Amino acid sequence: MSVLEVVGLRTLLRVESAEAPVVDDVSFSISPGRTLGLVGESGCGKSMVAQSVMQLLPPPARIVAGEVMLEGRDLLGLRPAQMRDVRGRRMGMIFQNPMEALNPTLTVGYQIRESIFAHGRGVGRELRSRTLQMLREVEIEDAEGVAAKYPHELSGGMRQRVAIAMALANRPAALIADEPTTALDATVQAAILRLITRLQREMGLAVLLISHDLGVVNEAADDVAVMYLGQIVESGPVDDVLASPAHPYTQALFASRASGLSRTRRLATIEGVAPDAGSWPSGCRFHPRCACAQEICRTIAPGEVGEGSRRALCHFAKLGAGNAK
Amino acid sequence: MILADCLAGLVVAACALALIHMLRSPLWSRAVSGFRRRPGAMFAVAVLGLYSLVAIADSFVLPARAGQPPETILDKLFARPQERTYSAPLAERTSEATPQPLLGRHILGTDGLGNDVLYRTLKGVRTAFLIGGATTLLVLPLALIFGLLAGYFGRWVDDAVQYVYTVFDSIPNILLLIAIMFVLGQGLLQMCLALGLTSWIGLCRIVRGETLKLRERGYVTSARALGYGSGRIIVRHILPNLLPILIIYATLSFSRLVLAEVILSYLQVGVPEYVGSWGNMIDAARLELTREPVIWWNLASATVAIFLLVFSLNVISDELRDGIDPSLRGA
Ligand SMILES: Nc1ncnc2c1ncn2[C@@H]1O[C@H](COP(=O)(O)OP(=O)(O)OP(=O)(O)O)[C@@H](O)[C@H]1O
Ligand code: SF4
Ligand SMILES: [Mg+2]
Repeated sequence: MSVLEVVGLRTLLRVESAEAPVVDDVSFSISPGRTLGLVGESGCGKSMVAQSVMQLLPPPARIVAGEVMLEGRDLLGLRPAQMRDVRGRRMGMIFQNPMEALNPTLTVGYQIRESIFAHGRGVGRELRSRTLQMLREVEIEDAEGVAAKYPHELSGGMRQRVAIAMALANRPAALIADEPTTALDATVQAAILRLITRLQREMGLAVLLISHDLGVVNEAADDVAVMYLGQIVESGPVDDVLASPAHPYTQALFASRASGLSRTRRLATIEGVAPDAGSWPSGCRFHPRCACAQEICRTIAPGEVGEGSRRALCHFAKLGAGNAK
Repeated sequence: MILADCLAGLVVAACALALIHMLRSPLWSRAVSGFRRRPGAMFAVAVLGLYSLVAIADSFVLPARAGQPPETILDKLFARPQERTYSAPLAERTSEATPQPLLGRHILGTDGLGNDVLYRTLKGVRTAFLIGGATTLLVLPLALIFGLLAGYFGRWVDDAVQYVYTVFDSIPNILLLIAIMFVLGQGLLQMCLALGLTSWIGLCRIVRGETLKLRERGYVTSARALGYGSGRIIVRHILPNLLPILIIYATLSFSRLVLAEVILSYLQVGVPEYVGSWGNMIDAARLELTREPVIWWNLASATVAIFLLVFSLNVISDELRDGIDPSLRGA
């Protein structure tokens, strides 16, 4: 059974009095102890998916269809107070910029304690020991010393560890990590990634890992979903997809990575730029930039093809055994 | 007067509490400990300390002797009998049988009515503190509540709050002030109320704008992702980050309020004559400056007293901001 299951999620964004989809019929599911990597170019709607799942969308955006099931419960049907209880207790989230993620006026220890007692779990001495235990779990050695510090006294990597400790303090079932390592330098990135993977194993967490970076996804994810303009265009087990990408967009992503054009391994070296929400092309959204585009792609949107966990959204998807290039 | 005394007590208690709270937090105590290395800041603290002593001395009433009006400690120490006429600084007292060196003199002279100027100046301290402090105590909650709610919740709450303060704002402040004073009558408390009602808008605007900014900060988003309610987020995560601005605004508005008292008293709608205030002293200068020889020392004393207070407050607010801002910005 999956911990987090999203079915047919559709989120609209209001741009100058017109509403356009930013997340369009997105479905995925994550089992306990597994990580789904969500990759795609900047602006394709990855963060919107995360915010839709958490129901923390900015005011111009709203969810209009779909289901978000957490541990068998449909979150979209919950009242705001119930949803608040789910956040931080059953489902945690960490963000891209750890320098901003902690309140500068409160000590680290207080902020972790707060994440526990805000959900009415633990008092007094127990709260304190839980806090120190959480700090040790995120591999901070001098837990007592760090608990007494203010965020500005810590490095970015340390702050991200603290943010993780806060998100996981109530032992949630799922963790959403929106580019948790993008703002960190390479060695710290690797350490944080290892930490997330380790905690996930120990706690049996379902993790949604959003990233620009194929390297990150390759290292930490079990499955991958590739997003383009609000849709998941390809998904499957990480090894399969990496070995034989079926969708032209995925192929282009990997090619741009393999060719070493981009030393940062970001997905920004495909010809052309992704259009903004509201001005998406007809037919297959990728056709203006697709190397394999045919006449049909211009007018008719492709349906999903594939079997089992392996899926792609393309008229000419190269699924199956014989597609290794 | 009893109400005013209670208010004075409240002001002192609030200031003391705020101070203790600040000094206990390492963030602030570091900003404050930086004072020791700056002569300017030390001077400002010394001035404020001295003024506070005077205000406190003027707040404790000694047990009254039979048939005498109650006296405060300050009255006991500095009150001088009224002279028949004005006299320049360091003039000897004439209304007492045995003149003493220095303290037997009117160190700052006497004003046009023959009152000791030093005593009048010192009496003005408590009035200034009361007006600055009590009004700030009234302004802070008003501005904070409306500003925070409007900034955090936006939508109709914001519209409503903006509507209210735009209405208030469209009436010229000084007219509104005078109108309120006429309705309420003269008096210290009435004055605080009038000043409070006309000056919360500026701070409310600042709080609203700042809240709008802070609402988008990473730690507020994290707080929401951790399932915190709006109340907790506003009180624990937005309000403390407003503190530097509040402190700066409060110190600056304190000095502005002291000046407003002067203007209102000059316009004869301020505190009543029997309450010693710098505004009343400057008001008296209207007549005194036209005399021959000119009585300048009354005006000068009040002005220097105001200047010292305003200057010290500004220095302290600057120092606090410099001390606290870098740590809050994460530098
Ligand atoms: N608060 C907002 N108001 C208006 N438009 C927004 C807002 N946030 C995002 N968008 C728009 O929604 C679209 C999807 O944004 P989203 O943040 O989900 O992209 P992303 O895939 O996370 O990109 P990145 O990799 O840069 O984080 C973009 O076109 C963006 O311009
Ligand atoms: S449907 Fe056509 S345009 Fe779209 S990805 Fe496949 S080949 Fe390219
Ligand atoms: Mg994003």
